[in-house]
Amino acid sequence: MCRQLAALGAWLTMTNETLILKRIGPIIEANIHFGDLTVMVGPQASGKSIFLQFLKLLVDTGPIFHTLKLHGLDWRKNAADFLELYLGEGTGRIWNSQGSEMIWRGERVSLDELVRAKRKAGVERSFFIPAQRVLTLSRDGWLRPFTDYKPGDPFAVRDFSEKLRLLMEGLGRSEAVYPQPKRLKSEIRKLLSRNIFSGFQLELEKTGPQKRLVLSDAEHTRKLPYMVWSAGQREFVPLLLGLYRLLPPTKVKRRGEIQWVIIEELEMGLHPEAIETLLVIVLELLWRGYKVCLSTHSPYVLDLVWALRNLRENKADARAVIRIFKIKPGPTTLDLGRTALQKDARVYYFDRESGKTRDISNLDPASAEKVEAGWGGLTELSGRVANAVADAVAAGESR
Amino acid sequence: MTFEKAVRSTAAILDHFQKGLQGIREADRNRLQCADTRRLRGSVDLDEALRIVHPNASRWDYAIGIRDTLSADLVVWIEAHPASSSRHVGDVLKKLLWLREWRAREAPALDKMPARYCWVATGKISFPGTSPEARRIAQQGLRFPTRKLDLDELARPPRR
Repeated sequence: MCRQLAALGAWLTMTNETLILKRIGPIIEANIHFGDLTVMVGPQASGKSIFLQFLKLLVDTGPIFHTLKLHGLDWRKNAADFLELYLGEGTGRIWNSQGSEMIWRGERVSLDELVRAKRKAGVERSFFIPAQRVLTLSRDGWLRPFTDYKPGDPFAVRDFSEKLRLLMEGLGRSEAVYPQPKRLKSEIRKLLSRNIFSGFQLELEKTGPQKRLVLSDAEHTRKLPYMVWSAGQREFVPLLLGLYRLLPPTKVKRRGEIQWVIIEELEMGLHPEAIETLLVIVLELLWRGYKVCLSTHSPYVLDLVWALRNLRENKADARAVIRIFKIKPGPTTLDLGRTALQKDARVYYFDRESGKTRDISNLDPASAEKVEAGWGGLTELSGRVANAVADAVAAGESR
Repeated sequence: MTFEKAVRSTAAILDHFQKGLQGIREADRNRLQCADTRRLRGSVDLDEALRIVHPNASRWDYAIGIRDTLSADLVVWIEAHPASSSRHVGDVLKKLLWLREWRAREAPALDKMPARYCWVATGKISFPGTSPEARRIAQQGLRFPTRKLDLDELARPPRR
């Protein structure tokens, strides 16, 4: 009986992972029930980023307040001032004390009360990788500290940048940052080396007091500084360093205190082969037990969600998952695939017109709902292209 | 040329012309949607009409006439078929090939008319709009499968 009650409690906790935001900026009503993997799609400025930053705020109120105060930033217990510091300059008015609402795990939370309350720093439960991650590296190839940004720059960027800097400061002199033998599964390392680093290594180079990240060839004869990296490499390196924090090189599956991983625009600046590699890393994050939230403009991310759903419904085994990524089946990769098939993945569309969200998790290409059939606009063009070609071929016959 | 005239001039199916969507089996009729029924110019159950003459062929299911321009009707060739496996793509393309050969051989009037080829999925669709399968069928002139075919969307308003 006790075990049943405990199971029911666990189930209720799990099923109550819901965040509802109302009348905040472009969001009229966003209602998201989180799965193990939650993907948010929608056009620019539809509220995805605001939503994810509010999620972070609710999960990590104490640590956020503590970090801001540590750097001498004060919002004078005022919601608008807080948002100017947290979301960034010009966002103070998106919260309206009369109309805006937040309902987190079934309970209404007032931002006005939240910013007035005293909070213990506590431990962070989420790790946020912002879309502007490329800004975290300066021109000389080193990570910018929190104080290097202006107070009006988004907290998510400053905080992420600082965390990476501290991670890198912890490394020794002239150390290989990538690859590291115990970091990441060997199959993932192979994919990264091929699809992102083209055989180069990422190294920490220290000359006198100056530290910088460089790419070097296998023989260490050629060193490429930050300014000559490809756009994709510049985008990817901060993301990789962020992932290092989440994928400890020990036998421990995950950093115990972190439960949520939030990644904005996973695909930013990357070729589809590199995106494919990142999707394997997403599977690794799920395997380690993190709850992963992504925003994306890439249909490849939805391809993965759609595949997992259909593979599961058709009782496919882990090999089918592994085959998608052309990686060698072995005990660790098959375990990755097996875990992925057990996870609950959800997709939400942020509709800029109505300001509301829609659950399009089924991703049914034949759905009568155009938003679902067109995967929130990500495949709509492809569908129209295919039908335009089909009609032109058909019309060509009768000419 | 009207759809009815073209069907009546085709010996193999001339007795199978039906008004509106009456030539479509009921289960499949529910998979079609048409708000402007005045534009429907008749339909034929090809599969049934050609069953005896071509018993072992990969027969196509239906033809529907829709008023398209003042001078010609549009023929919407519809195949109701599962799309739940990539093997079904091959099956439907085989049927499309058969349809074109049959039409060139036995239905020259219909062969000359403007056409649309539509696949109505009778269940789940196993490949997305971005897949190579979607491009493969498009290159053969076949539209991406749908569970509910909107006939209004296919026909352009008649030119005045």
